Amino acid sequence: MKPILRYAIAVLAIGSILFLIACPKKDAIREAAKASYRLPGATNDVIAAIKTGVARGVFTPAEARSYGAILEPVANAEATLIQLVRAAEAIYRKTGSIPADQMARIRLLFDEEIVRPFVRLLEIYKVLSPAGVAMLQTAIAAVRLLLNTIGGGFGSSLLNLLSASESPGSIGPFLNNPKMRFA
Amino acid sequence: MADAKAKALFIAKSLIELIENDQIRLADIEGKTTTEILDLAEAEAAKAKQGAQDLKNTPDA
Repeated sequence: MKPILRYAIAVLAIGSILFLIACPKKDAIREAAKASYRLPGATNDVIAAIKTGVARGVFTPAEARSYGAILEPVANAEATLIQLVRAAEAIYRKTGSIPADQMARIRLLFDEEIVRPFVRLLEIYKVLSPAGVAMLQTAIAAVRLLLNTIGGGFGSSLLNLLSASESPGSIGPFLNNPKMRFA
Repeated sequence: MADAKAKALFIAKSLIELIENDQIRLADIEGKTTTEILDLAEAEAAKAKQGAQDLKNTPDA
């Protein structure tokens, strides 16, 4: 494994654990804002990679279109999520507290409309991988961990579910059942 | 068209870059106010929306 990847995984793991142990209430909005910034950044990285992949003949135009169809609602949800965090910040400034239902809406949007399709994309990537390309499996696992860490910014803890979905066949119910919650 | 192994390696490298870029993004917002971070987030989100639409409309070669 590349040293940088080992480092990234260690940083993400430590960050995730620290968040789960203690996240000061007063910093909740700031953490949510940071997570709101990281999400579309990651989406832009994926989009840029797919565009490069098309240019290099790694992906077909049809594949790029199908990825675009997955990522467009993700990008829309990310924009909505930022508005929700901004609204929560405004309430916090006035009242000094964050309404539980506001944070619940933010978590739900993150879980259902961002993580779900993002994981679907990772599953597609995994299917594309021939046996023996361990690097891709490692990278996918690291991105799942990243999603979990970012989710911590919204008070969401996806680690168990994301880990469970690593098992063959277990991703189906996760993706297909709209009632299934992640937290 | 690239073979399956080349494709898998390309995707893997892209995902690792994503993780590295995330750490850079985190460093970039150190010291910024929450409002400033949300402003940056909105700019990223607008770029993502446009980029996803562009992908959806990728023309055949």
